[in-house]
Amino acid sequence: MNALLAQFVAESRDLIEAASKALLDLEQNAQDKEQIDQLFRAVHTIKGAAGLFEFTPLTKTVHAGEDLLDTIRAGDVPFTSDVADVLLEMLDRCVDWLDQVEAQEALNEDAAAIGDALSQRLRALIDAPGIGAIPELSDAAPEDTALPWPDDVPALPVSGAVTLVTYTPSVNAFFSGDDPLRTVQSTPGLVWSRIVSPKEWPTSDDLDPFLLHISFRLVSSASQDELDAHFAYVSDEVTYEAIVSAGDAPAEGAIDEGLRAMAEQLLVSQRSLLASDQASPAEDHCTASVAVVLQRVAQAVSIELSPELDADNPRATIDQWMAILGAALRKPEPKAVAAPPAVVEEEQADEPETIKQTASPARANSHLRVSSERIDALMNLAGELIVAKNAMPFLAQRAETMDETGELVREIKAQHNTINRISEELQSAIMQIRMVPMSTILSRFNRLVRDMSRKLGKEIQYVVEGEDTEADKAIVDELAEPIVHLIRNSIDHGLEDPVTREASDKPRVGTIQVKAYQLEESVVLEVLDDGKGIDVDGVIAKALERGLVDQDKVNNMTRTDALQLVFLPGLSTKNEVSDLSGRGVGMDAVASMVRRLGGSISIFSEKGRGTKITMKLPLSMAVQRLMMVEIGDGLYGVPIDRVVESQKIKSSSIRRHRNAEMVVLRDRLIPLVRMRNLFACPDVEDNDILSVMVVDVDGRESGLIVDKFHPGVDAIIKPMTGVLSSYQCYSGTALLGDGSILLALNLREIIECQYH
Amino acid sequence: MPISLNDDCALLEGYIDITDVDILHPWLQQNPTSAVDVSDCTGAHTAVVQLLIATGATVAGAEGTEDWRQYLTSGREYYAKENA
Repeated sequence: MNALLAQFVAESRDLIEAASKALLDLEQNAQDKEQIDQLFRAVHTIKGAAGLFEFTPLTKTVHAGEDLLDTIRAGDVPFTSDVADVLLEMLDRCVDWLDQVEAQEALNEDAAAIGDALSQRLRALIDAPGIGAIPELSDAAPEDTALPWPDDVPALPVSGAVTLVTYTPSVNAFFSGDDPLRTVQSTPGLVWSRIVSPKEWPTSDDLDPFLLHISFRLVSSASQDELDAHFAYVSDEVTYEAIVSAGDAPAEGAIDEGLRAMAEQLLVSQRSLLASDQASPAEDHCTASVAVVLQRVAQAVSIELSPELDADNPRATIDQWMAILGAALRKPEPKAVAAPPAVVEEEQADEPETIKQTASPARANSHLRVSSERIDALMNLAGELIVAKNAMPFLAQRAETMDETGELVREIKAQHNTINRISEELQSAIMQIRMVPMSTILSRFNRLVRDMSRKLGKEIQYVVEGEDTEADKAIVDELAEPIVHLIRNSIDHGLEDPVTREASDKPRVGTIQVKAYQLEESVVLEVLDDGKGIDVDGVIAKALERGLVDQDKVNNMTRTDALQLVFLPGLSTKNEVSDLSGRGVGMDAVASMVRRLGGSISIFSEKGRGTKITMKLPLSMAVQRLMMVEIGDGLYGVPIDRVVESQKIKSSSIRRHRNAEMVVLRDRLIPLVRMRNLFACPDVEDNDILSVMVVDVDGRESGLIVDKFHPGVDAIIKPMTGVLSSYQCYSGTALLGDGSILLALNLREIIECQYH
Repeated sequence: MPISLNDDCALLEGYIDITDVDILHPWLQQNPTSAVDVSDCTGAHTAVVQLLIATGATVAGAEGTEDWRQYLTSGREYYAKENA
């Protein structure tokens, strides 16, 4: 893919992400002008960039979206959830198309048809908004849809609506041979124009006269088509607004905007009522009711209706009244015209308002966009370097046998220290590059929650805490799927509908909270809901019914332990498969995803109060620190973040209950696993002192009895492949500095083995 | 040459192209208070107009005109002839 196209795809994705966020925020607060602007800018930029390539359906659809947003920005179309739905659909479609562009540098054949349909739906919202669906209004002259005369444009001798063009040429316009002033001067129907200076000029010495700093505002009486044709080559640098001068506006102006909108809406509904009930038996009642409503509306907006209602032909009078009200309720009159042209001061151009309108989105140029593959390659190399440097201590050992003076050994050790330090710094520097904030995935679930709550008729607020917590990109990306699943589960099975919630004295709006924080070398993610919680007895019953546990084991379980059964494969507590929270994919899938990443998962739930699922994952997957232990002449690795403590205990302190062995350490009862037995190593003479490594698996502690402890080592764990992959008790292999292979233990599996 | 320079005045004649910025800019740096006379100037590239505005040059011969030179007056505004 050519570099320009690749950049377009990457940038557009970011913009879509930003637009989605703005859209969802806007849904919370439809009056947030900043979000509307941001949304508009994002969509506008995508449209501009798409125009560079021949992706007509994409350009066309986004263009329709931009136009819709423009009308929303101007306040002509109210922002509603339905509007948000279509705009979100447009963004989703764009993501699809970008995927296609990335894969095949072209759009699929069906794109044109899909694009047409979608842009029609978008345009339908512009043409027939909730309050303006009357034919008279949508066919209205430009004056009716025009904005009031802006304060920064002087009074001009024009009649009717004219177009205010804001033209912000690119800073490099001169290099592409443009002469923007000439473009402005040759604008068809040009009435007035102004050069808008930047907020601050560089000093004469710092000024680069070949970079363009100014922008233009101009008023033209030409038609939109003529203007479109004139600015065709710089279409993404101009914005148009229809404005109307004070003299052409309707005479009334005292109606409050909210009242006006409401009155207009009433008028629309009355019109459609009349249209729908014509020739029906209820027509008379209908006409009478419309007459009353119109009279009330007129009273509210202080407009006199004439003539009096004609009892013989009420319909005709109503039509006349409609016309009077329709005319009175059109757009409010423009504001009084600003100061006369001669005294318009230059400073006016520097008003923040103007700057805001002409400023193009800031571009950060201190950032590099690098593909993650390149970073991965760098990370792998750094990992290899760390493993390779591990060979040096072995080299020193060998040198000791040959070099009697010890000088060479000292030198090797010194070099090892240096390389060690550099490689560790290198690794942490690369790690920093790979670190991304959790917000990259967490913010996109807003959408999921919104869509699902709408679909299920539940009221849900989504709260994110600690979105700035950083973790390795690979981990963060992989986490998206489990979190989606957990959130879906919470919405579908956990949170009750508003009525049930109110009945049980809970707030009507349910809460789903996702918390992220760093704990030592791990990142912890919690998904909490204040729903109905999980029925532990139901879980136990189901597990017994499916034969996943036996009664004996259940009897010895605490409630919390029993709850962890939900992570067992094949246990789904909801009988029917819902179309929302996965088809048969249960919590076991989430658990296995988390464990595959080297993490752990646990669940806590209180009936009627809610559920909390905690996932703990390593900060990075690349290089892991392993603690080495020896079992029957073999070396094995245990991830250091799982090791709680290493202890030497007396064999006499072991307590036995049937076949199970336990030891009390710091007032905790820790079950023991004899690793020699598990690995079927020959028995050794009873040793009085035993080495116990206490490990934490999914929140439960167990003690592994090993032969010997060895120092820790940094290693890259490679997954087991081929025949070896069926050995569940190993999570992977790592190459040691002396060329030998270390098997990394899969602790969870080992503990499970012990119990079965 | 469309630009004649001396210490107290720069005289612009005919159409001033973007390349002339190379001559005008250093002169404006050296003579920040001297006037730039546009009385006989028929047109200028955006870069030239921008340079005059950015450096705050004292422009002579722009007041009262009905063409592009109106941009060089204090309002930076242009009113089309038939409407002005």
